[in-house]
Amino acid sequence: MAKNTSGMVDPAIFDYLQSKIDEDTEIRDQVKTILQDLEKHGRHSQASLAKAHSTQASQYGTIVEETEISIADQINVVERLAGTASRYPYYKYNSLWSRDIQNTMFHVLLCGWLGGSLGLGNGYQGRLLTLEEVGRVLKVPINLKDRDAFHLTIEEYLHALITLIDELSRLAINAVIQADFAISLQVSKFIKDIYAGFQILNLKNDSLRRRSDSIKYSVKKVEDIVYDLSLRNLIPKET
Amino acid sequence: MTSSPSKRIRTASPSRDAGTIPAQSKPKSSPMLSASSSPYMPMFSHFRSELDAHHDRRERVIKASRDITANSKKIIFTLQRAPSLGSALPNGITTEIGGKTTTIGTLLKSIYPSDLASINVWRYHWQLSPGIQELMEAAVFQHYLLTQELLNFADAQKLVGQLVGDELVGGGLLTEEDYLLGVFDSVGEMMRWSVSHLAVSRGRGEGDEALVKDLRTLRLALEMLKTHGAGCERDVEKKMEVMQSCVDKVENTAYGLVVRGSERPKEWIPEDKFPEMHD
Repeated sequence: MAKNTSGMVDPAIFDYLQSKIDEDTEIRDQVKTILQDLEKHGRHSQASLAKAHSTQASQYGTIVEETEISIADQINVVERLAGTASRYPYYKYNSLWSRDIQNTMFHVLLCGWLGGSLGLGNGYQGRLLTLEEVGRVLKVPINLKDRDAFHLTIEEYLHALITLIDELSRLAINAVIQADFAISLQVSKFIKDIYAGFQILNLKNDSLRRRSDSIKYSVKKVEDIVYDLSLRNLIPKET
Repeated sequence: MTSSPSKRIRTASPSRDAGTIPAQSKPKSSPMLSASSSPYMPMFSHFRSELDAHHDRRERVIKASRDITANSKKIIFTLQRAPSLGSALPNGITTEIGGKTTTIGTLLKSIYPSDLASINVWRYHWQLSPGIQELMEAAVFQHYLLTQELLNFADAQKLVGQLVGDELVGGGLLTEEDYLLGVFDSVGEMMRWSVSHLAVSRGRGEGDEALVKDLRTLRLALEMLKTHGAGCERDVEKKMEVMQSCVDKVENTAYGLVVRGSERPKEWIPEDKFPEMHD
């Protein structure tokens, strides 16, 4: 044990650690740069989709067309992100992009609900795109379990779904302003169906749980709208 | 509270004006009733089973991690009783540590590879991390007591691999970050051991000088790491201060021995064996 005149630390240990830390920093920077693009295109989609609040349901087609253009840009960025991210452990970095991916998924969901076909064929208004369909739109796998690569998770889909419900409960109000009463009824039914689904999930005390707690307020908000409409005989006869 | 009845009256009044049937037309169907008719139930039951399986795996990893931490702490306590540096540990200590190490291996095997297969190693990394870091703390401390050297990452990985009985792949359970954070924590144990060792030897023991030097070298190496923008940045920042104050304590102890220790006759026995421990 007499060798210890030069100290206990082999410098190679820390050279190696530093190189690994630098690698990690570099990967994070790469991902963040890509996410800036995703956010930029996402803002365009958001702006197009927001027009739904001031548009008659019969005119949703123009909004959808416009949104599909910026969603196409988002799809390209997601492809770049998937290419970069798939080179590293998925769950090591997924917190970096999870929020942005949730937003992107929400744009796809809302565009689909408004009637966008998004390359899936025969879109119709009021449609809920499944996780599989959102994956197909964004051209990435979903819920991967047996291999480590970029994908969309169930949790991300549920988060996007909660955002969709929030947005639709607002649309239910704005549709009334435009005397588009049928939309409010449709939203009410849709939100209640989704809410019923959320109720069978055993959510732990995480962000998904907290956000899903807010769905019941959306349900109530839209129920109140339907109540107000029914009081005044404003509910259109079912055909 | 007093305002609520009046509110109810107010919301009820337009119904009379409108002349429609009020209450019964209000769609207040309970969500549970609509559950059966919701077209999305198959999708949600699929999500439910996926999420349940996920939470179960997560729970198991958290529990194992907690038990690994407890056993690693026990190893560390035992190691604190090591009488000297750079030589084999007494049999009693080795046996005790061996038992705990076997337990840790069993705990790791209870979740690996089953719950931590493929993509899931990183999925539950944040749950496993505390246990692995504590294990590293023990391993680095033990290696130092035995060899007076810092355990390197490759050997640390091999050690974890051996514990799960899968040297080639099992080492993947240990990340560079967890190893590094374990090294940070081990400085605290080296400090504790050094301070009590110095108090007993009163600075006249063989290798007392090396102790201070070793910790100083390690401190400098840790301080020189650049972690800005890295995933471990915040953890390293937190541990840096603690590590520095630990090395300070050993330096202060050594200082005290040089200044005051030399004045004492060789036969003088301190009344309190470990004065620095009460700081």
